[in-house]
Amino acid sequence: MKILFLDSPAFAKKDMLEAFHNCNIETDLFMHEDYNVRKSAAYDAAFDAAVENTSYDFVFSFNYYPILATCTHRHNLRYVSYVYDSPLVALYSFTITYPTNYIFLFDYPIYEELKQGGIDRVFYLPLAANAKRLSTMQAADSILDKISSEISFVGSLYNEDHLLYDRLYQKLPAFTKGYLDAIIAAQQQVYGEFLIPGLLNDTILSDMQKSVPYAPNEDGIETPRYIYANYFLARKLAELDRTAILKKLSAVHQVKLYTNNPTPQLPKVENMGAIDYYEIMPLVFQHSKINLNITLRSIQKGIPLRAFDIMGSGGFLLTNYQEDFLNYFVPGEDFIYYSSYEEAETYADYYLSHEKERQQIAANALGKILDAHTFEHRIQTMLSVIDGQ
Amino acid sequence: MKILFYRYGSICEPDIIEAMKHLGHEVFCINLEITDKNIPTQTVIKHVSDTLLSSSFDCIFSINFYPVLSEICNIMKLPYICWTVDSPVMELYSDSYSNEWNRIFLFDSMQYQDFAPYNPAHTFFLPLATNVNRWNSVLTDVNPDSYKSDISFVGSLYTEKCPYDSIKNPSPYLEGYLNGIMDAQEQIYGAFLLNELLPDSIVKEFIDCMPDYYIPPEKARRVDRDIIAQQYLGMKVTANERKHLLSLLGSHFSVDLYTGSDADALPVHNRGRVKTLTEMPQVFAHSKINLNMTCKSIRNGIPLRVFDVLGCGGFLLTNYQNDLSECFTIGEDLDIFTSPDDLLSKCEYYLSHEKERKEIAANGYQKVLNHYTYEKQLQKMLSSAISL
Repeated sequence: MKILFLDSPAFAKKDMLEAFHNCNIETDLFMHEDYNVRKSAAYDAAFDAAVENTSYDFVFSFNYYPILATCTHRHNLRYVSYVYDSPLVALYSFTITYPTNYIFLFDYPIYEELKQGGIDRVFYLPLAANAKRLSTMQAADSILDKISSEISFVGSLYNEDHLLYDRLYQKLPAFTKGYLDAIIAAQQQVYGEFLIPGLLNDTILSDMQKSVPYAPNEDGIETPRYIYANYFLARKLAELDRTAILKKLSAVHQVKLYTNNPTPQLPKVENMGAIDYYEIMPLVFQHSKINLNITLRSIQKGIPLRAFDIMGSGGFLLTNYQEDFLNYFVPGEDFIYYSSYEEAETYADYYLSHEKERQQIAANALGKILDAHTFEHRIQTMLSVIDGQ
Repeated sequence: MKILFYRYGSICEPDIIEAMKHLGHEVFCINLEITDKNIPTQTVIKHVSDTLLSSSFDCIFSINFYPVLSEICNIMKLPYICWTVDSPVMELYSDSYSNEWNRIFLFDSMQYQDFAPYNPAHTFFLPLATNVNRWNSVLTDVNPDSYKSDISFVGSLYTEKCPYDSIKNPSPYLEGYLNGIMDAQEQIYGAFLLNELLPDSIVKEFIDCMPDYYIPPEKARRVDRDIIAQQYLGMKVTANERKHLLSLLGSHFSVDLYTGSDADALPVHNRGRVKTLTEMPQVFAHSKINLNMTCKSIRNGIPLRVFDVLGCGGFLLTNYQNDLSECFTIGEDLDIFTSPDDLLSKCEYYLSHEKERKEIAANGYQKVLNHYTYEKQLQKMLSSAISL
């Protein structure tokens, strides 16, 4: 079996390539600078050339790219996409109706929404981890200081991205400012349900449109409600959630943060700067007593890649509540979840002082990942879906 | 036991008196407050004390909580037993709450969580009840046809009694903020968030914009956050929710609304008020689906309507409340909804599944008959109150 693999930037790319190899699937790489635009003659020509002389069983990409869907459709080639980002506005492109598509989604409500909307090219598939690699990596003594901590968080605080929201906010009338502050404060208290889209009524949306207009893609049916909720408010919420939890935990424990931007608003957090996803991040997960996962709220129920990486590295995971965890893992045995900032602190206190339980939980999680949640497992599922169609 | 029952006119008082008598207790009633709600405290003190001195009583009982009764009992070293049927009950904030002769039974587990710390040994959680015998006797003798409904709701729309609507000149920001938290609360079942969503600045501004803002009497805790969240915002959310859900249902199904409120703008049949003791049970017994939309200021508790619908053998579809699973098996004794879409699809389902509906109604009836009659609840209450 031979496939064409889109060489776009994606965290788990190398792990996926390795998994295809392990499944005896040969991969050729394809890339073009216009991979993320909707229309490009140069891209089309490059793709035509790439598939001209080889017969591929399917084309694969992480996330979903409308231009690739169009090209594969034109060649009547199957296009398998594995989505790990939410929001992903590309899913609202009309190209997702092409019968050549096999779109695997990790967040159940998005799958459900598209399926109920009549799209039958979508399938639900959780993310995974290359647990064998992650859990066997060895840290050099020289970096132990950098990667060891009581509590760690790897990720963005959205303290640059959120400028998008702040720019929008500044120009809003006072009523709408109050309304948005209120629904953000309410959402901060509620886990398991993304309330924001349902709360953006027409008046509020029209004020937001006047402040920072959003025009849908030419080939897209995404609504302004989707865009403002997922790209503006969810990111602001991520900033607030992450800042609040790190502030709370760092008041009493050692907290290391691995992130791109400086964080002067969190004086007690040790900001360690950015780290390499592939080479260093798994070592951080191995050497932190507690690894935090604070999910972007636009991921409604799904398990983010970060959580799989933590469990697949043999790390102990403390995450916000996300419903999909309960389909595959047992809280208290494989991982711990919190459903309020206060609970996050309570669990952090408890597990920092209960080493044996912590280690047992981390070991259980790693066992489950190795058994059922590697990329090889996912490829098998994809193949059976494709064969079944 | 000889019980002095201080009445104020709550609809469940006759049922409680009847049940106390069934249990073999002697009940003596003081009725002054039924006709005069502004009766001076001194008059109450004199009347109650005189009654207590004229004969020997084992306890005083009332619905909700009367600080003055609590004080009298504390002086006389007599148990004061009371049972809340409402929320909020502002008198619970009184300093008298901590008196040692109180035996306070709260129907809402959240009310219990809030107040138990102020008198832990003498505060109890006790869900409400219904008088199945009364309903049975009423249900035998009326022509049911005039009460047949697909979907019915008995209750106020809260449009005419919403204290929030008196707000004067709020700043646009305040109005936006309050609307935002109320809209969010309307979408969330099983968690009351409004008080935690009121920062100090909003509390202050709200009080400034609210003429005749509720000021508690002396010798009481003043918790503005709770007052604003429950008394003002909770009721407004209830009004909004009832309007939204009834319009939604009414545009898909035939809905009968029994209310004294103005429902002209809603796509439902407004059947006006019903008499609680004679007509309401007919509605409950002869509707295919009885709705319950709990007033938001009842944060976890089960309102009386739930017990009454089930006690009349009616099928109940209610919003989710945390305490429901304490008393009932959801899906067997009654069913719940957790969003407007859920409500629509459950109505559609149950209207076309008569057998399931009747089975659930029968289970619910058995459940209240065996566990939630006034006799059963009063037995629990009096035994815990007197054993202290």
